[in-house]
Amino acid sequence: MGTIEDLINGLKAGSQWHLARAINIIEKDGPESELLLSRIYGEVEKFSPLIGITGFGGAGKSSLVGVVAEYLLDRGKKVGVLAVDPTSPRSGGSILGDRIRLQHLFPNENLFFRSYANKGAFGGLSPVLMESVRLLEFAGFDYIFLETVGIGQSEVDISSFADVVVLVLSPGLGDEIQFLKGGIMELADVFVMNKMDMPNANISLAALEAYARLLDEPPPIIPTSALLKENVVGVVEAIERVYTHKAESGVLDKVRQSRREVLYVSWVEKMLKEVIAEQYRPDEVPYRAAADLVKKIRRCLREAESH
Amino acid sequence: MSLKVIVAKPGLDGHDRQAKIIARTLKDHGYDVVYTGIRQTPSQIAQTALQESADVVILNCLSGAHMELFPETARRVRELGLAPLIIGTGVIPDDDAEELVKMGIDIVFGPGTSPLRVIEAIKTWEQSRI
Ligand SMILES: Nc1nc2c(ncn2[C@@H]2O[C@H](COP(=O)(O)OP(=O)(O)OP(=O)(O)O)[C@@H](O)[C@H]2O)c(=O)[nH]1
Ligand SMILES: [Mg+2]
Repeated sequence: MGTIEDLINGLKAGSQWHLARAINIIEKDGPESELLLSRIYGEVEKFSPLIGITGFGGAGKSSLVGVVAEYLLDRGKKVGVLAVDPTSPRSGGSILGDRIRLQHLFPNENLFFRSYANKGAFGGLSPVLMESVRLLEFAGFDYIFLETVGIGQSEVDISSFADVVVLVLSPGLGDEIQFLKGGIMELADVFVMNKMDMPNANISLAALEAYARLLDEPPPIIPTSALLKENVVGVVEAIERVYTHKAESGVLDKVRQSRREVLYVSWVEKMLKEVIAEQYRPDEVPYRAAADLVKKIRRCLREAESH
Repeated sequence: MSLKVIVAKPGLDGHDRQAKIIARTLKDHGYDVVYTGIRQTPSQIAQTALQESADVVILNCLSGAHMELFPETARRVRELGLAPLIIGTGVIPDDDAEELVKMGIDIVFGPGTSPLRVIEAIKTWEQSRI
């Protein structure tokens, strides 16, 4: 099994075995996980472009990631893909079906794909996912793609987390009403109209273009067909352009800062939860008990600081 | 954390109904299931098991090539230093089943097996593991 040091060395050498093992460790969340996290967050951070892929169910997100990944792999890049699928609220189980669209690219030493069940935490972006991104960066991946569950409130999170957010649409799905709803339209950096091979796709594309003109900063609209591998280069170039622009304007630093902050808060929450639960007694009025506890914590912090 | 199960179809047959039923039943019983799709090679399945940290790998083959493909897949999975429970399913005669167990498949289920029996087997293994 080896020590944390072996694991770190394996990760740095880019070993997929060590990477999968490291993710498994943070998922299990035992004492080893703490050691590993304090090590990987203790070193100077090295960032890889993190590209969030979102959009309606079935729009072709995974297929698009597949053709884009293939394009990058052909150019000698190392590509990591993390894909989140919803958990059934009834059984707690899930079918993680994104991988199937990239399976033909394996076996492959430069492609790492991992499926995650969204267990309801953080609207899809659980700390484990963010920590996995860090592991992939550590292992020297040139690009990291993060596919998240359909459209909903949760996707708003992805914009404070990913460097570039790509919204994948497909003909028919995106009628005007859906365009106007949902903050994601305003938060996406790139619109992709996929499935352009479908009949009447041009009408949907025109509708999207008309909608985009109403936005303050209309994002580029890239028509593609993941099925026919058409205009994959257009998607890659649009991502690169946005990334470069954000890097030069300092926006990227802010995104990464917010990533750290979200993580920090989620860690504190997790670590405090147990302590808090221990403090509660069933005969207390819950709201008052909560306010009292926070007061106590603040007092402790003040005292600790003044010493 | 739910157990992670890979359902994979090695070989050339394109009939995925049975594999999908197994996958869905597992999901309904609280498992996280990664379905690889059809026409998988042993090395594709092995790399999937590695990348996903699979606890269980279920192979389903209806083409009759199970005697070559199942042991080859099991060998590659273990060669990578992984130790998932490996289950073989499909159109497998009893004689073959016995042979496959000798060749490294942990459990083999023949034609007409209910997916519920697969789940029972996983549960039994889970308990013995601790
Ligand atoms: N005609 C056509 N079909 C496509 C294209 N891209 C994807 N599809 C098909 O659309 C279906 C859904 O594709 P996925 O890539 O799984 O879509 P997704 O957005 O990842 O789906 P979820 O993860 O389930 O939300 C599949 O049947 C694909 O084969 C395309 O460019 N043209
Ligand atoms: Mg998908």
